[in-house]
Amino acid sequence: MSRTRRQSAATASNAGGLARYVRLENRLVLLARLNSLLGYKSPKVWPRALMLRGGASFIIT
Amino acid sequence: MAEGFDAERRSFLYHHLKGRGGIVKLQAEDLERYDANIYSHLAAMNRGRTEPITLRYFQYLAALYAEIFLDRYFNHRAQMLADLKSFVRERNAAKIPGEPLDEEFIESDLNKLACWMATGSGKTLLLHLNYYQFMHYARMQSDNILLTTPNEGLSEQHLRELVASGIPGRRFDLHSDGLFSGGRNVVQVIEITKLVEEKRGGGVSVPVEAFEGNNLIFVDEGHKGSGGETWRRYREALGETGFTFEYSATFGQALSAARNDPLTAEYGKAIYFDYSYRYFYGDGFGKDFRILNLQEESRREQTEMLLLGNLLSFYEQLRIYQERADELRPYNLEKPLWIFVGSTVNAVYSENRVKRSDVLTVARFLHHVLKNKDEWVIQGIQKLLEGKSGLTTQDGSDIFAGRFATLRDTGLSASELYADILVRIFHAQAGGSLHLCDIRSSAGELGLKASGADDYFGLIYIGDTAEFKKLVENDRAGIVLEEDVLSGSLFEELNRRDSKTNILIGAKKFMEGWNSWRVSTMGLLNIGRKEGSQIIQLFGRGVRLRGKHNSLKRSTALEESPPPWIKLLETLNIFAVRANYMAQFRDYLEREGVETEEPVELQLSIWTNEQFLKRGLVVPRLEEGHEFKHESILLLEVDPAVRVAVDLSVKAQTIESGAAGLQAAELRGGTVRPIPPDKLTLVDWEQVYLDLLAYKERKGLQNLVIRPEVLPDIIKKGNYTLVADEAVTGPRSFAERSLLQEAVTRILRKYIDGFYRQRREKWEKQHLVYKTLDKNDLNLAFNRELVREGSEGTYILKIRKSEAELIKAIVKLRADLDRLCKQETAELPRLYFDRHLYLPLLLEKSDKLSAVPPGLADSEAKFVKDLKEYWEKEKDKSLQGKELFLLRNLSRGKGVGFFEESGFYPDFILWVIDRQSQRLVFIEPHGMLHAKAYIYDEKARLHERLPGLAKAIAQRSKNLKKEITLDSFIISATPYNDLYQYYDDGTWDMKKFAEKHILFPQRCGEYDYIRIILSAS
Repeated sequence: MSRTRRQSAATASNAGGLARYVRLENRLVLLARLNSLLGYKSPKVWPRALMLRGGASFIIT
Repeated sequence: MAEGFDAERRSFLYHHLKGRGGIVKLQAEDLERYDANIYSHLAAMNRGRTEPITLRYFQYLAALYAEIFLDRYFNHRAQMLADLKSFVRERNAAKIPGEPLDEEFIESDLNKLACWMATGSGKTLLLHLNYYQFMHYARMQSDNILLTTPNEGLSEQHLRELVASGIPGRRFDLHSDGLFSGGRNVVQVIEITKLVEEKRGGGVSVPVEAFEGNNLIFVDEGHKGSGGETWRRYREALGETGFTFEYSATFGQALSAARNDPLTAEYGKAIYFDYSYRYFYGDGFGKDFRILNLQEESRREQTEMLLLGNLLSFYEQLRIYQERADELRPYNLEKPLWIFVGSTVNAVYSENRVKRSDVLTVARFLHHVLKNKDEWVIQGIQKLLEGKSGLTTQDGSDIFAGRFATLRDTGLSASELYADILVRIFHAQAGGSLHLCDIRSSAGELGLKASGADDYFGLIYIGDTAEFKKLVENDRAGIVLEEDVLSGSLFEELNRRDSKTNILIGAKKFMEGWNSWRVSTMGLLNIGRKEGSQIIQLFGRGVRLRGKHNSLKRSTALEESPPPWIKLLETLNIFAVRANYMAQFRDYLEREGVETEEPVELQLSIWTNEQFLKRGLVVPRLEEGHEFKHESILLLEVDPAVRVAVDLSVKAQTIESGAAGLQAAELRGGTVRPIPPDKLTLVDWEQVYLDLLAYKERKGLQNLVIRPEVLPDIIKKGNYTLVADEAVTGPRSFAERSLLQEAVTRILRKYIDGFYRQRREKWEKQHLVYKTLDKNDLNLAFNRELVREGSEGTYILKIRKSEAELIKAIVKLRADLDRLCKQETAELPRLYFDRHLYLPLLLEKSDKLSAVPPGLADSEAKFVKDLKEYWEKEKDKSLQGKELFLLRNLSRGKGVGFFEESGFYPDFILWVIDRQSQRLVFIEPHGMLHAKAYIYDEKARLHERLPGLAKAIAQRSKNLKKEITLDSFIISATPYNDLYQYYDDGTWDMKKFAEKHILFPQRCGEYDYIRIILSAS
């Protein structure tokens, strides 16, 4: 497999998984109601930067 | 955010939520009641435990959400349904075209709650809390309580944990009469797979009729594997009369979020809490992970190079662990263990009619390392250290580039490192052959030893040792086979501190259900798609971390600058060879919200204003080498100067746990009344003493000595105020006696707090000195230990690798000091205020990067902006002749702090100096959330204590050129209109708050909080 093809496959997967997660969070309606009772927005505004605090990495050659 | 409950048994989160004021839409008394319920349920769960559970903030919130739901479900169901319907309508109306709409709630939707919680975040604990909560609210007892699990191992574990939480549990027996079996309120545990087998086998059918009636069902990982569909059918069969709680770490996998997916709509209405792996990891729990996968087409040399990189990574961890043993002790890290997991149940399997063994692949590799033919290992280590392994990532960089920094820092050559690897990992003085020893006393275990070594360095743990030995015998590698009739099981000793086993190789079957904190490096071989879910389980266990103070957190989440090498031991390295599942695994992590892209680290040095440092600014710091806890032993004694107030009047209910179980008693109203001395005989003083010892332990007051005989004296002679009902001080029944016990315990807990604080303050007065601020002050020298050159404090920025433009922009900005310090541009949000001692002053605004130390939060930034504006306007007017300097005060370990027990580190230090004097003002723009009464609000009252402290410090400090005064202010994040209602007696106006140095961030008309700070003296 050429490097270009592999790269684009990995990028697609990257977008897919996270995008699905974000869409799913938007569907949690009961949680949204409970959050709103305590004055929180839902899904919680959660800076992506939070994930950067760790050093997780995933490398596929 | 502090976790747990205060001396008055109110959770800190309760105070926090209360402090949010009007935006919380719950009635205050409801919030109070929910908090009390959670406390009592937790008390019930802790009754039989030697180590009590403290709820993490997210566990508390999950319990609180369940409280809100269940209260409404049982007491106001129609109202709740109407409310949810209206909420859905409003949400749908606000959605953009094309966005999936939420389905309307119907009554049967309310019969189910689902909780999305990451592995290791305490799903089981939540299940137990939910049990107690349900029992509390359900007016009728449930006919059946069932807990379904994915497998037998988990069933056994659940049964043990139910017992630990005081919940009756038993195995479910299909053949016994299901109805009432085992008694009421007993949780019956069954594997979901068993239900499947029974159905498919056509034998004994699932006795659904046994579950007719009012049932309570707990489902652990119900949608996993083949059980998912079965469970759905089964649950439907249970009808609408039951109530279900479902728990899963991986709802992200099960739900597609597609527009018309009924399952997603169903769970969207049932999931009441989301603490998926993203949040768990983002909050600092569990290890970091680094995953390297070599694709299928890899050549043998590449595989061996990856394995050698794996070996070197493991050696680096082991070396750090051994060399830094003393410094590592507080972090609760275990001795590193390198595990290999093969794909098949058996060590030997056939592929294309050829017998293969992943285990043999690893054994051969270890043999090759020991033999070191033609010094290939030494050459390989050299390449790895240089980042020239030949294994590259998609962008062409070497996968080991920049790694092994601690090994390079040793200055040892590759051959010296190899010699050390032999000693530390293989327990061998020199190379040789690999010896495989069949441990006769322990079936399935083959010990691994180097030629001439006394100790085993590794273990192969498989089922079919005979067949594997045959394969080794026929192999030409030269591995030596032996028998050992003397040694015992190595596997059983793996978790012992003195275990010498460094490497564990096994087929995955033997890893299932096995737990160890030791796993630090993981090698995966030939893992295919179908093994994926098991590898995820392995991953979940591998990233568990005990952490400092058993916090389960990484040190970077606990401290601003932990020793940098700790990160190596708090990272799970996963090396995969031909593991085709890894792409799916990555997708799995992303579906749980985890970013899998490696961040780039950039260092950003600060510019310190050295002219300012020449102005003789001082900070109070402890004399070096002194620590209160180590230098002062305190004996708890009666001290009338310690004042305590306990208010039992507002609590609706209290609970006593005793031999007879939980007893609840109502409390209503109350007046100030002392406890009559003759009633003190009704107190169980031994229990009080034990409670206080546990409290002391929890608060880390190790230098406090409590003698049991002093406790009644403190109550008799101490200076306390108790507001309570007559039943508390003059109990007439067993239940009321528990109220007295509660009151006495609370008074003494608060007394301990006050006593300890007073003694510490006295000690500090004797040991604090003024130090002239210089570049070595920890508030200015942050992260300096990470920077090889220069002596400036340095921000560490982490940016996602794919943000190439941003990285470029920041690198460019870094080179332009003037722009970096004096401008406020978007690529790196920051504030320019030239009176701050260093620049830039970063803001916590961007979601594309993170900084250590973190940027200023909104409330902090507002203060700096307001101060800047005021200074620029007034410097030649009301502030003429004065100079002003500001410094961000970092937290524990770096900044200037007060009240070590509660850790109060005001966010800013402000100096206002003129010719004669230097005024230091500590400013905390955060919360007024926990305190109810000023007199007991130690943070707000800091300003009262500071003048005395300043005088004492000045007497001990030499060469002071100016008079130095100390002051402090709290800037309340809670608006005045909310705060005044619950603070103190509820009558304070803004002027009164200002007199007490509590300000609101307002600048209009007469009220300008900056002016108040600067004009006070």
